[in-house]
Amino acid sequence: MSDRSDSGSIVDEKEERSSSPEMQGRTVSRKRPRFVDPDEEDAAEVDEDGKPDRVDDEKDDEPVANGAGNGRARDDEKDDDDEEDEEDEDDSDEDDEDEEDEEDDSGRRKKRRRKTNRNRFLDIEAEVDDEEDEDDEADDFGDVADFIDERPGDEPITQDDTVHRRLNRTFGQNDEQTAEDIVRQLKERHKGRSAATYNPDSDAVPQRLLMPSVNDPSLWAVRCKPGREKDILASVFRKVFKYQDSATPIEISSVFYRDSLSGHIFFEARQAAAVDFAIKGIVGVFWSRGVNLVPLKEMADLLKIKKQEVDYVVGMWVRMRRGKYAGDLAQIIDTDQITNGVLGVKFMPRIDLTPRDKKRERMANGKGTGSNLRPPLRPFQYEDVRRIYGRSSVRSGAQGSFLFDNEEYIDGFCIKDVKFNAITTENIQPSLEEISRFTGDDQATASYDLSAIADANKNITISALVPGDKVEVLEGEQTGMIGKIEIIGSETIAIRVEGGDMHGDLVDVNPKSLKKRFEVGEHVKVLGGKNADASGMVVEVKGDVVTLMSDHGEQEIRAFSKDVRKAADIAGVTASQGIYDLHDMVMLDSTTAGVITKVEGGVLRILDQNGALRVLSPQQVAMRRENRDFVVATDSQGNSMKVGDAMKEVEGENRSGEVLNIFRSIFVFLYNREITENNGVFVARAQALVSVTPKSATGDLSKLNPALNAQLPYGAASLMPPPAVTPNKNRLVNTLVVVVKGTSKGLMGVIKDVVGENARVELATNNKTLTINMSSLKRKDPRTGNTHPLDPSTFGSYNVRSGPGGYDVNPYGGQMGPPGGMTPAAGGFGGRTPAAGRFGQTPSPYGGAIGAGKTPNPYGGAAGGRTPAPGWAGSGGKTPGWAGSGGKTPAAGFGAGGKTPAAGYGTGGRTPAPGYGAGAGGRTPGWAGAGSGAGAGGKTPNPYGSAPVSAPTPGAGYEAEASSSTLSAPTPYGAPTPSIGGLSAPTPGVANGNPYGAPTPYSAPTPYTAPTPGAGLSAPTPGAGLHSAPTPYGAPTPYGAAPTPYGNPDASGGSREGLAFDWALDFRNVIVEVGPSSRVGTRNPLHFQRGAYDRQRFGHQGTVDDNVRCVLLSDPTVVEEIPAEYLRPARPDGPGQYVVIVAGPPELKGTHRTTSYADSGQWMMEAEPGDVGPTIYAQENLCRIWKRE
Amino acid sequence: MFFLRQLSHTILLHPSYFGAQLEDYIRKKLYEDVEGTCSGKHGYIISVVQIISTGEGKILPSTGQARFRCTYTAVVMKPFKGEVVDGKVANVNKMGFFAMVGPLQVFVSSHLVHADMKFDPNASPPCYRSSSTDETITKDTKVRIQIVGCRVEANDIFAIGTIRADYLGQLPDE
Repeated sequence: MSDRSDSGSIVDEKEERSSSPEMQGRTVSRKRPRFVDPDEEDAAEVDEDGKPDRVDDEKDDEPVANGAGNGRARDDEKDDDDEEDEEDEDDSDEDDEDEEDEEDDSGRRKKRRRKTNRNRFLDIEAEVDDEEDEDDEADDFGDVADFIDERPGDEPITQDDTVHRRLNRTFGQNDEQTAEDIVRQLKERHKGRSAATYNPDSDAVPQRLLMPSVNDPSLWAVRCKPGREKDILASVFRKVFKYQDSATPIEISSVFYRDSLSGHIFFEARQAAAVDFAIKGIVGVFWSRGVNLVPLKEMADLLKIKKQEVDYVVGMWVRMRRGKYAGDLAQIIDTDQITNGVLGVKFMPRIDLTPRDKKRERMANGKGTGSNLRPPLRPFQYEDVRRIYGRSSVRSGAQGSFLFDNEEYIDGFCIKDVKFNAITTENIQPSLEEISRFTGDDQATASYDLSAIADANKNITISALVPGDKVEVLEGEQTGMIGKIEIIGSETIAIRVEGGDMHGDLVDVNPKSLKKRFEVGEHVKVLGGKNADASGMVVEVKGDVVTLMSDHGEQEIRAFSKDVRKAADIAGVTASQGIYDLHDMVMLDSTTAGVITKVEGGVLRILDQNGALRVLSPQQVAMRRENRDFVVATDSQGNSMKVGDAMKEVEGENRSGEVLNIFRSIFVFLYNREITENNGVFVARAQALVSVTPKSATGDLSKLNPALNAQLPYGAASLMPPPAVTPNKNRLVNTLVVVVKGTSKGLMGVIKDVVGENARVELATNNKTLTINMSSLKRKDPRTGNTHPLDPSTFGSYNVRSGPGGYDVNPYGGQMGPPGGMTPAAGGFGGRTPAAGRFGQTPSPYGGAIGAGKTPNPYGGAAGGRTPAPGWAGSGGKTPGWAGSGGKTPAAGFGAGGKTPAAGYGTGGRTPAPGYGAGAGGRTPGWAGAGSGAGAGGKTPNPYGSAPVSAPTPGAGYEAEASSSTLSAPTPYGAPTPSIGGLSAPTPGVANGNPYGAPTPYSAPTPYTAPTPGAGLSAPTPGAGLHSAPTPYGAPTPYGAAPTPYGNPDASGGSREGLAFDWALDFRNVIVEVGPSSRVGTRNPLHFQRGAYDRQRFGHQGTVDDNVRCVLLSDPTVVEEIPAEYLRPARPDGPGQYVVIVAGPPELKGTHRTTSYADSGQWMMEAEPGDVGPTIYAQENLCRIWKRE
Repeated sequence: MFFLRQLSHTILLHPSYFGAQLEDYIRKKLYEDVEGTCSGKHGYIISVVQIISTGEGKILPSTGQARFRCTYTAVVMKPFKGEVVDGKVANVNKMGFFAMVGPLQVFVSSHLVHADMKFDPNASPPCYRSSSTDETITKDTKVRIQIVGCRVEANDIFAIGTIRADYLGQLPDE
C-alpha cells in the first residue's frame, strides 16, 4: 500500500485511464500498492506515509498537517521518478498543493491549471480551511487575492461594493446550503470513484475493492536465472526507459520479483508481446520457457505483503540462514546496532576439531575441504581448540572471551554480529532439546528458561487448535481468561469462557494470544517434537512445558503445551504408535524372536529370546507376530500357560511376571513392572516356569467337556483316531537284512538308504549295492540269525505277542546303546526321579519278562512290544502326573529312550495305555503306594478286542484294589471307577462331583509331539500320574505312547539281568503279586482268572509243576495254584523287610538281606558281616520274603 | 468409590456341559469370569453379590453352544477425579511411586508429592523422605492420596494421584 511504488507504473496507467480523468489520481494511488515489491526495506515506512495521505484527500482535512511527512515521501518519489516527471502532471499538481514551498519557478503555468482544476478539488479544501483556520484563511486569501486582483484590478472602485456583496452572498449561500446538499454534492463529486470508497474503520475493504479485474493489465511470469532477478529487473528498467521516447515504447506498467519466488520475475502489461520484447536480449532470462499469464486470482496473492514488522528483542530465538550454521538455533543477545541492520547473536559453534593435517589429507584425496561434513555442534573449548589449531590461533579477549578464527567465543558460544538477512525469525520452533543444549544442560532435570521458550513458542498456529481444547488468553484485554474453543474461524477463534464474570460467553480471540491449558491428571497425547505420538498423564504444568508420565515406559516426557493435545478419555486401546508397539513380539530373523521393551523415537529396544537386548530400527525387524491370542506353552508342571498368565520362575532368580508372549512354546517373555532391567521384560524357558495363579476351576466351558474324554478311556481313542505312525525309514539304515525274494534271494546285506518303498542294500557278499523293494527284505538278527519282517507296523498285534522273543521285536538291538542305561529297568531311571522310582521299578519286571522272551508283556496285554510301559515311563516325565509326584522330567537317557524306538513300533498307535492310565492307575495314590501297582496296568483291558483277557475292566480291577488293604491309600476320588460293565463307564466326576475335577489340561501339548513318532513323549502319560490327580485325562498319551520304546531294550536287557517270567519257580517262601502274564507269547489268558486276583499278594508256598501254590495274604484260606507267568515279586515297601534277590547278577541271586533305606528305586541293605561298604540293590531285583525261616 | 451395580455377562456353554449341573457351571463360570476384572465403563468388579438370573440358554446355530445371558449384581469400584483414597505403596522410583488402592494402581509423580519430600535412592528400600518431618514413603507405606486424573482403557484403569495437599500422604500405622 505504498505510494512509493509509483515507480514503474504511473506512466502508462495515466494514459490508459485518461478516459475518466477524475479517477486518475485516486485510482492510481490505490492501484499502486499492487506493484510494490514487498521486500523493499522501507515498505513499512512508506506505508505510514501513504495512509494519512489518503485520509486527508478524502476527509477534506487540512493538507498542511501532513505536509512535512508527505514531503519526504514525495521527495523520494521524485528521485525515483525523474525520468517520468513530464508526464506526471497530475501528481505534481497535488504535490504542489501540499508543498507550499515548492516549484515557485514554474508557478504561473501551474497555477492556471490549478485554477481550472480547483472547482473539482481544491476550492472545497480551501473553504474547509477557511472555516477551520482563520490564519490560514487570511494567508490563503492573500494568495487568492493575488490572482483575483488581476481581474478586479481593472475596475477597483465600482466593483468594490459588488465584490463585497457577492462575497457576502457566497457566504450566505454556503450557509444556506443544508448539510444534505453538501453531502449530495460531495457524493456527486465522488460518484465516479464510489468503488474505491474508503472506510476508515476497516483496512480490509479497500484491499478487496482493489482486486484486479480483467480490465487491468495482466501479470506475466517469466523464468529467469535464480539469484539474478534484481539485475535482470534493472536491465529491464533501463531497456524500458530507453525505448520510452522511441516510436515503439515498451508497454509495460511494472516489473517486479519476489524473494520468495526465486527464478521468477513478473511483468505487468496488457500484452504478452510487450513482455516478450522487454526481455528479449536480456541475459539471464529464460526466454525459451515462455511468458506465462498469471491467473487473475493469483495476482493479488502474488503481491500480498507479509507483515514484516519484526521486533528484534534480546533473548529472541532465531535461526541462522546460511553458511555452516544454516538452520542452527541462535539467540539474539544485543540489538545495539539494530539501526545498522546488525544484530548480535550467540549460538553453539561448529568447530572442526579433526586435525588439520587429516583435513589436508582429505583434500589431497580429492574429498574437498570436508565442508560436506559439517562438524557437530559443540561448545567452544579452549583447550581442545588450542591443542588442534595451536596456541597462536586462539587469543583470549576481554571478560574471558576467546578470539578464534576472527570470531569471538564466550562461555563456549560463538558471539557474532550478523545482518538481518542472515537470520530468520519465522517459524523458529526451537525444540526442548535445542534449548536445553543452549542453556548448557541437557539433563532431563534441566531447568529451562521458560520465558525464552514461551517466547519461541508463542506463535501457536491455528492448525494446532481443535474445538474443545482448553485455552488461556495471554495478552490483550482478556488476559487470563480461560475457555474452551468452540469455533475456529480463519483468523479468530471463538472460545466459551469458563469462570469469571463472563462465564458461558462466547468470545472471539486471536489465536496468537492463546496458550493451551492443561491440568494435572489429564490424559494427553504428544503431537510433535521428539516424543511425538507418546501419550500419558499430565503430572506437572510449568509455564509452557507440560510434564507427563508416559502410559507405556515408566518415563517422564516433557513437551510444549502447544504440542500436546488432550487424548480421548478412553484411549482406543492405545492406538498403536506406528508399526510396532511396546511389548509386541517381533521376529529378528527366522529363528529368533524378541519382544519390544521400549519404543523411543525411531528406535526399538528389543529383548530377544536369548535374553540379549538389541537396539534396532523398525526396518531391521522382520515382522510382528500376532499370535498372542493362541500361543500356549507347558510349564514345569505340565500345565499350559498363555499370554496374560502370571508365572514365576522355579529356578534362577525366581522372578515372576505376566506372560507377554510365547515363542515356539519354549521361550516365554514376561513382564514385571518392578524389574528395572529391560524395562521389566525378561525371558524364561517355559519349563522353568510355574503358574502362580491357581488354575481356573471351570476351564473353558465353550469347549468340549474334558470330563467326557476322561470317561471314555477307549472311547477317546475312538473319537480321535491315532495318527498313523509311519516308521521313520531312515531308522532302517544300517539294518542287517536278508533278501527273501527275487534274484538276490538269500543274500545278506545292510540297508544303506531308504527311498520310498525301496531300500538300497549293500550286499555282504560282493559289496554291491542293490535297490530292492522292502517287501523283499527281512531283518536279520545278527546274533540269533532269525529273520523278522522289516517293518513292524505290518505286524498284527498278536503276531508280536506270538513272536519268538524279545529280539524278534527289537529292531534296534544294536543301536540302542547299553540297554541298561536307557531302559527303566536299568534302574538308572529310578535313580533319577525319586518319586518315580517306584514306577521305574514297575516296568522292569515286565521288561524282564519280555526279555526272557517267554512271557507276554503284561502291560500291553496286547503286545509286549507295544506296552505302554515305556511310553509310560518315557513320557511320564513330562506329564503333570510325574511332576506331581515330585519328579521332573526324567533323565535324558530316559527321554531319549522314549523317542528312539517309537518308529519301529508304529503299530497304528493303539495302545493299552489308555486303559492303564485313564482307566485306573492314574487316579489313585494307591498305585503309588504299591510297587506293584502297575499291576493295575496289567489289568488294563486289552484295547484290542481280541485280547486274551478282555473281561476285567480297569475300573473293576481297580476298585477291587482300592478296597484291598494293601493299597489302602485313600483315593481322592473315592471310588472312581463306577462300573465293571462299561469300559467307558468310569466317570471320575461322579466320585467327586467334578467331572473334570482334575484341572490339568489333559491335552497339554508338548513340544515334542510332532517330531518323534515316539509320541510317547508327547502325551502326558496317565500312568505316570499315579500320584497326582491331575492327569486323569491322560487320554492322549496312549496313542502316542503306543509304540513302546523300551520294550526291546528291556527285552535285550532282560535276558541278562531282568527277571524271567518263570522266576517264581526258582524261589519259594516269597511274597508274590498277581498280575498280567509276563510271558511273551503265552497261550494262557493275559490275566489269571480274569484278573480276579490281580494285584493281590500271595505267599509262595511251593511249586506244583509250572504252577505256584499261593496263599492269599489277606485271606490265608484262599490257596491257589497260579502259573508262574502271572507272578511278580512283591517289592519291599519299607525298611526292615526281609528280601531275597531274585534278579540281577547271577552271583547275587538268592541272597537274603534286610532292607534299610530306600532311595530312588534302590534299597540300601542293613549292614551284615562281611560287607564292604554299603550294599545297594535295585528295587526291581528284590522280592519280599514271606515267612522268615 | 464403590457401587452396587447390576451388570450382565454372556456365557457360552458347550453342549457337553448340558445336564443337571448346567446351572452350577454357569454360576462358577460367571464368578470366575467377572470377579476381579475391570471394565473401563464400570470399573473394577470386586465381587458378585447376587446372581439375578442366569437367563435362558439359547442354542447357537452351527456350534450347538448355548448362550446364557446372566444378570447379576456386583460391587464395583470406580475411581474418580478428586476422590481421596487410601492405598499401599507398591513401588518407589525416582519418578514417583505407585500405590495400590485395592485393585487400582495409582501413580503419584514426584512432582505431586510435598515439595520438601525428596527421593532418596540410596535408602534401602528407596524412599521419599521429607526433610522437615519424619515422613517417609517407601514400599508398603500406607498413604492417603487424592486422585487427580484417571486414564481409562478398555479393560484397565490407571490413576494419577497427588499427596501434595493437606492431610494427604503417609498414614500413621494403626
